[in-house]
Amino acid sequence: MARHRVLLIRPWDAPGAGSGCCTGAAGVCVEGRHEDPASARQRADQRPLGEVYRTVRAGLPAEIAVEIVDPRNTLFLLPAIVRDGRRHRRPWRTLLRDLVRATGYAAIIVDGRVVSESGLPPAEQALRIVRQALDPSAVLSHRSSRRPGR
Amino acid sequence: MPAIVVVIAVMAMFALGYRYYSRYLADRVYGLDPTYVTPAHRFADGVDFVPTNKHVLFGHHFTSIAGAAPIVGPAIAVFWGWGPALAWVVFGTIFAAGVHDFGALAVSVRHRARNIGTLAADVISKRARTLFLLIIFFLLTLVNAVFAVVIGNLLVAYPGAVIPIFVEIPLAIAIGQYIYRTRSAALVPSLIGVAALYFLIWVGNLYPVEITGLADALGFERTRDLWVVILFVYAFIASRLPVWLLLQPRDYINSHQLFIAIAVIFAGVLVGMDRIVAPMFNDVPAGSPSIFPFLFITVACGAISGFHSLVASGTTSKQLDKETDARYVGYAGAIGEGSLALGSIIAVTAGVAATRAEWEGLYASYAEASGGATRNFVNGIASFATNLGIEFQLATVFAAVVVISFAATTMDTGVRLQRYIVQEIAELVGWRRLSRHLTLAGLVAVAAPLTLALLPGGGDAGYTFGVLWRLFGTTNQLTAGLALAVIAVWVLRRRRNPVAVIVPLVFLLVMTTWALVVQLREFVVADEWVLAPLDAVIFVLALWLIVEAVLALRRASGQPVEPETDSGPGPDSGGAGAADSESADESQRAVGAESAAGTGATDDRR
Repeated sequence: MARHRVLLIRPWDAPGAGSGCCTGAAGVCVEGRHEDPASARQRADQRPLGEVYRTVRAGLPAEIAVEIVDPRNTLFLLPAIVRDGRRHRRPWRTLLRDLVRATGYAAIIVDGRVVSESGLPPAEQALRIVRQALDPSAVLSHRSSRRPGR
Repeated sequence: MPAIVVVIAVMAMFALGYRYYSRYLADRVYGLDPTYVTPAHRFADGVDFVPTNKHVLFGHHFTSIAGAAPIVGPAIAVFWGWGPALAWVVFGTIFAAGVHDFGALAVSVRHRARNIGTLAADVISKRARTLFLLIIFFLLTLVNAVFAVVIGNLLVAYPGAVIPIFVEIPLAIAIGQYIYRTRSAALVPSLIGVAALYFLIWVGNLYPVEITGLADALGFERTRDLWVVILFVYAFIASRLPVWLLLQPRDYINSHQLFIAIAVIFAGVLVGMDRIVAPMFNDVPAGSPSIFPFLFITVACGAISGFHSLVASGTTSKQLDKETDARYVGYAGAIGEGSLALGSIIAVTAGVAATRAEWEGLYASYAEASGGATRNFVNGIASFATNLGIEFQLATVFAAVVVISFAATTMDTGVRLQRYIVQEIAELVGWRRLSRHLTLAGLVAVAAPLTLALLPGGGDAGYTFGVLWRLFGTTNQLTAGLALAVIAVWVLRRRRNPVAVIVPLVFLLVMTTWALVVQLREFVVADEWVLAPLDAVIFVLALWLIVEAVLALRRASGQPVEPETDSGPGPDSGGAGAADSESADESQRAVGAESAAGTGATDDRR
């Protein structure tokens, strides 16, 4: 498992998963002659997060995990925050606060700590926020790995 | 026998299936390669193509396949005894559903994460895409019809569920709007939504809403029919609303409900140590549908479901981080669905009745078994809930609300998908007016299942429902058959042993065609002139599928070995068997292709 993990929470109005026998089958609506307007809108809404994902992913070393998580995937999300927080020795009280804030609108979570919520920042700003929140050694190792000749 | 013993034994078999059989499939049949660069990496755009941790992806995949269908089928199938129903769920999950879900994911990953319809055109023949669209049209028609009947029956049987179900709609909209406008975290408001729903269950239990008088005044033969009409009017309107406005907030509440319901079932069984009172093999009355082939189409979801191939290919496959993760996400997802079916069987054999005689009264005939299936499930869950100290009457409303919520979500999405399929088919046959008119296509999407759901016959006990359910199971199995045919051809082209895929494929095709022939005869004898042509058309599709599968397998056995890598330039290019005009249309749409062009790797290996 990666030592550091960045979780990007999908905005509430641009979800990627649904529940029920049919909802996950919506992918069938994007390869024909028509595009279902609901799917088109949903995918258009997801593009800003896609840009943030690409920028953050490209700006961090490969050993730092970057995941997009649906806010309804509580089965993964809540245990992941506890696990990441405990691994980085965060006290239970602050961990509990982060658990409640984790499903914030387009929240960004670094090692179990919510570092941005209430809206998706521009891609470059998101990368800055993530870098500031990460252990400095993790980012430094990335910078050194990008030196010419390495 | 104590139900908990059965639960432990089945879970142990599922664990063995995952440990050994899925490993065999991964290594010997699908030949997964941990170094293969998946489409999620090749075309990464953060929108459709996102490399995703397997545990995250499992959550997304499982919530997208789990619903009400694995509950209803097994609740009917115990009519033949809990032994055969459970055996089909266990062996179907291990040797059919696991192979199918896992295989659909694996084959899609090797073909730029395309969905099974496009893959059918690519791997089998161009005609197969038309076949796919037609099968899906009938599948969605029947899904929407049977779930409307399920909900209608439950609202009649449990009038206490009316208030919570209908107030849940504005409640979900309000929660969605609150989160959307305030940009606040969703967890607490959605938990408040669940708490409010449970308060409404209590209110609904105090003030049940019955509409029998209104149905009589409007001239409806059955009260259920008025509910069915109301549901389709709702589904038509809901399908025109933005997804984020109603469907997604309600989905959030549902996802909490799913975990609460699963916890209640298994905790209730553990605390109450209920015993299975149903017979292992039931001596069914003369004239009942025979166990072969009808058991195998009555339980579709929960043993094997073609719907899963739609989710696995085209959606989940775009997010697979490593090819080897397909085993965990695909196979374990099928086991999760099998576990829901197990919960249903336990509820209707151990929870619903205290004695064998009482149980035999509930399952006296196939019509009663099918018409009462969801009621039996609801009462079974309520019985488990009483083991946890919840009052029985209140618990029945709780369980009814869970089932109705899932069935309603399926209807919402089913009508949306059907509208799209209607447009696609209309385009194929040149009906431009229909293909480009959303409202018209939506009306067609609603009219077909509404007609079926209102078919007379058998009263609320549900002769018609039982038949519709079997037809739904048949088309679901045909969809699975199409996906298995695609997987088998792909495996054969790579010169790997396809027996593990061909055995469930042949089994399903034999069972579905056999069932269709028997039913066709029944419908003709009974003068059912809506169901008989429907059955005949599905039978023709089944024969078409068999011919396509045989031809494709013969061609594949004579072809050179398919390269291990798929070096296509982008997710949407390459034709893939689609018509030229279709490719042209696709190229104008942004399906993540803009970023893919920049990231498209030429080397498929890391």
